[in-house]
Amino acid sequence: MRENNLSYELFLQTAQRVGIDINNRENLQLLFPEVLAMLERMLIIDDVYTTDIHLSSNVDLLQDPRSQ
Amino acid sequence: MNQDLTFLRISELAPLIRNKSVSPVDVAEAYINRIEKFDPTLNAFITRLDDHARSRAKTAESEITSGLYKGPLHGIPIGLKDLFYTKGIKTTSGSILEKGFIPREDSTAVTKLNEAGAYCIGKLHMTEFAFDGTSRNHHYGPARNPWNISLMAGGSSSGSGVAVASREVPIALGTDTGGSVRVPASLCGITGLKPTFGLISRYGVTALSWSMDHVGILGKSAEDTEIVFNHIAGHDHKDPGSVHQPQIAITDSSLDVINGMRIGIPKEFIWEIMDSNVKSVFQQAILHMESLGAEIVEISIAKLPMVNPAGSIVQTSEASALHRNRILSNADQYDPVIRRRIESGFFIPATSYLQAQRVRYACMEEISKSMTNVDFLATPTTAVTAFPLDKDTVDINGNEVGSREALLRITRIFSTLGMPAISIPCGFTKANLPVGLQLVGKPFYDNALLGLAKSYQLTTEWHKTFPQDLD
Repeated sequence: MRENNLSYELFLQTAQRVGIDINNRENLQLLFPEVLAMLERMLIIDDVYTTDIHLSSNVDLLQDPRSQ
Repeated sequence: MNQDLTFLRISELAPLIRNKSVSPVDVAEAYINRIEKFDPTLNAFITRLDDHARSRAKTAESEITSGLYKGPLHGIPIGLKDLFYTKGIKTTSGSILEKGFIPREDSTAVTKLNEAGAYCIGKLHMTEFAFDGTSRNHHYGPARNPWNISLMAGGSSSGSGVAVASREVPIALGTDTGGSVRVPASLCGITGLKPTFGLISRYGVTALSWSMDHVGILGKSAEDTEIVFNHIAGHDHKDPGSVHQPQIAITDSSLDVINGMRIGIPKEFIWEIMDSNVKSVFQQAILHMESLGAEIVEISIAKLPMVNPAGSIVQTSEASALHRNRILSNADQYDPVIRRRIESGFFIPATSYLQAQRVRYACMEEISKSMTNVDFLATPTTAVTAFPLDKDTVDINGNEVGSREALLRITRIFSTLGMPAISIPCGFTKANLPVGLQLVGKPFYDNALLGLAKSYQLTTEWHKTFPQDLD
């Protein structure tokens, strides 16, 4: 699994790029750990084997068990 | 009739309305009286509709007196989570941004309820835009758990859970994206059904995450939720997620439904964070099902720990896409906690969102294989019982666990996978707080799942136990 290596400086740059108000320091300081937690989740699922799975829409996520 | 009508389940009340032993007007007044008396403390309602309810109840009475009985929902008041569009009635979605929003039409589910003769008695408390599992709301104050008003009721359909448990409404609609029907049902000691994804239309329901949102039902029993489910389920071309699949019908509610059933209990993930009191009550419930003839089987689902990260990424990405423009222009009008949750989605790349969607499929494939030899799964609904409203963490067997994780970690699995799941009350801890038993079916086996839950409730009294009134 890759490492989560987001620095606070890179976080700030990205926040500004996506349009988040970077003058609200209190919000940013509380947002940073939320973003790190989200990155952790991304890392957890990165290595799940999905090569054979081809997406169309979520509507066909479920199959009628009688047709399997 | 001297009986307190608010104790009756719909399955008991409907025959009395039909044979004119009970007037729909008296039913409306009984519930309005309780709302008047208890809701200033409980805060289950954002908008009360007393006059509307009285008017609709009178209409129902006239129709029934004239011989135009429409069925078991005729003359029944219903509470609606305040994200179901109601024509001409304010619909806030728990947000201050939507406080002036008055829809021009009803949601499909509300239309179907109206056609069945039911009516809305009020719009119910919810967490802001349904993006939280607690019962807190920055703008409208917290909804309080009727078992102990210092404790949270669970969310995001918090008002739906509180109003049913406190007998302010006989039944309510909610929505469930990560557990928002089953969590308040569990913490408030009532029944909460989240059907298979796509079976109930979300048209006219404020979206949080279009590939994970479900409409659900909170009631006093599985039978009551089934009555409503049978009226509002069905394909709707206005909802792109709506499905055509027929349900597998096993609607029996006899002990034979449990006898011979194989019920799987997952080995992984569920038990890593679990309050010992909840586990003990759950084990008693499983022993009870075993005594009724169920075969209990431990099953392994290796990918189970992958489901919630995928679900969280999908839900947050979609919520961030839905809210992007408004949060960039009106961030200060969001609850700061919800704001950050949405903003965290701006950091998710498209590749991670799509990988998360594919992981959902991979997990669904595995769980389908794991369930080949079982009919249902059973887990506790939540890892904890209700805890103090102001707490962001909860102590579970000596470990501090975040409130969202404690509340949603088990239910989120089955929202992410779209599987039908129901929470039914299965006992109380020593602190007299209700514990929920979550039963999970295979996709489209909703009626079979309801049959199992009804059969369990035939031999237990937990669903007939209500909190004492506050006075």
